Amino acid sequence: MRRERIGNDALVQDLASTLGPEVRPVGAPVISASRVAKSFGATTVLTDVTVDIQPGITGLLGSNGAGKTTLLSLLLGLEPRNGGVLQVLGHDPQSTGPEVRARIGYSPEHHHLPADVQAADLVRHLAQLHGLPAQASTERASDALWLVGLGEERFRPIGTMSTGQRQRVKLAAAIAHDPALVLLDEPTDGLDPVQRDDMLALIRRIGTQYGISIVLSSHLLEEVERICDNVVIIANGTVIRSGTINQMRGGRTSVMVELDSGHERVAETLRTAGLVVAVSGSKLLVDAPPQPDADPYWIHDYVRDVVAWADVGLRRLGDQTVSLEDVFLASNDESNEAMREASA
Amino acid sequence: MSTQIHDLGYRAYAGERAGVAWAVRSLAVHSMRRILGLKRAGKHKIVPALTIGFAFLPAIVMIGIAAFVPAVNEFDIIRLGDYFGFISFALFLFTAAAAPGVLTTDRTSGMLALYLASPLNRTTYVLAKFIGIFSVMLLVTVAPIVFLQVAFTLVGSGPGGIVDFVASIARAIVAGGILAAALTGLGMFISSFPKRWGIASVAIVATMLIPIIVAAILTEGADAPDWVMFLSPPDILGKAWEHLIGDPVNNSLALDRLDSTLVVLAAIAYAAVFVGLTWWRYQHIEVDR
Repeated sequence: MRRERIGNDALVQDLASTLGPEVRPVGAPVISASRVAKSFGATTVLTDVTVDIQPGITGLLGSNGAGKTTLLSLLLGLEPRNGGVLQVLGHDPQSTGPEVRARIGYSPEHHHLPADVQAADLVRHLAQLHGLPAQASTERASDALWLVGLGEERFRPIGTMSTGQRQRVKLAAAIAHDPALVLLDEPTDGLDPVQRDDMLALIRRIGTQYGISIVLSSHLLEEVERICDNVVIIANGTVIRSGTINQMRGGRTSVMVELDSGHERVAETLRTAGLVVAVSGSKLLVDAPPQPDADPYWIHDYVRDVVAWADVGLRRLGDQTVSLEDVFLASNDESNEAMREASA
Repeated sequence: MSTQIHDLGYRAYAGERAGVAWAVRSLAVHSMRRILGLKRAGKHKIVPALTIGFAFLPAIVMIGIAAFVPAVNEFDIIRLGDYFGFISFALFLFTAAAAPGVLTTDRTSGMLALYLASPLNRTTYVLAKFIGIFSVMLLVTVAPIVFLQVAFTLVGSGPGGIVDFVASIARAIVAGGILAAALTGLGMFISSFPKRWGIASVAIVATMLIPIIVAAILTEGADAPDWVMFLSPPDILGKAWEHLIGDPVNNSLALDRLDSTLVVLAAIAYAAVFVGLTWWRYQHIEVDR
């Protein structure tokens, strides 16, 4: 049976039709979780995970021990869950694990890999296990290793490789079989800043150019902010926030203006125009409401014109984006508060 | 290290995707290769080559004797039933080398997590490993006897007639198959515990040798009843093999006095129990992710 690749949705649909009657509608989320819970013995790791993850690159954000790895195991159907409904690529991984896993690539958090095996052999072997014929596995293993920058090193035993190279081997192994979804558990763990930049750029490229949806777990906000389209924030075993990065930031951008003089006059004029302006020292923080149809820089232009009109010296004019960290910290406060209320 | 990213493009894969059976087969073949040291450095080939060579050695000697000194046959010096006794130590060593090398290392090298994230699950993983180890075990439990029977036939001292010949091969396969299954199961179960394959290897050899010695002391020295021999898996497996091959050795020991049917059933039961325990163990084993 030959299949044409049209896009992620088509693939997912294709998978759905080979699995049975539960056909997933086009445009549906890659992952859909509702009240998913998981405990190991007396330890409850996930209490209520309810989230829809759309195609694209999604960051699974949470502090260490928040349940990210456990959630990834549930997505792979490796552990039975204690409750809730979970759909990955349109199917319940717990009941159709092997079929779902055939279309998922996974890179675990740990860096242990067999020391005496060549990178090319490992990647080829795993591609074959995911259903590819021998010849195709060999070719695609080689391609995937070139893609991650290990082309020249692909015949080296993994035991002689650095942590950075092992992270790349794991990434190559996760994408060699052309999955519809890739799960990366802390893919930048153990990398130096330069390697981290390279790895993030690589993940971004795989997620945007090859039609593969990616879920990556991280405890680093900055990382998620840089390459992800969507964010899911987990704390205390539950999803406390989820959405696109822009939704998270409230969809607004603030502009920071630094002036030589005339702050009050400029601020007053901007306020008259309906903008929210905060003055602190020589700086003005101008909050711009979202205007979907307008030029994204309309606010910059407008502030520039007002400053020119007021005839004062402009030292600096730039974006003051709401960082994910602000959102994260706010979320944590909320969830801590919720915990306190619950226990009170 | 090179941090440059080479862009040779990435192609979508539109070809066929095989299912779980293919994954099982791939892992089984991969395990066989690892055990035999194929596509690995020379040092990994030494132990399998030596043990397989040792398993064939009696066959080669026997054929030599049969070919050049045909008269010895009449004195019943060459006995098929002795074969297990000759090569038992090679079998134990082979078991001790095979199972830990492809099971223990999977847990410590992180491969188990990657395997379980593939279309395999805990059951099909164990199945693939069993097929891989079992197939290689046949090289030492079945192949030497088949080789021996074929060679005996060629030098004119083998089973008479095609029917007897086919029957002798069938016996070799059944007897060696049960032996291989039990040794594979035992090796796998023990290999599922320690974190280091060396410890697993030593434990496997100990599990073979200690019951043989203890059972012999109890039955011959301490007047224990004959059925105590049933508690020694390697003794039972060897005796079942002799019965199935059709040439039981009789030295009038406790083991020789046991009922042949019960011995064969016990050997099959041991194989089933060891494989079952391995399966059960792997359902609960913790995976490092």
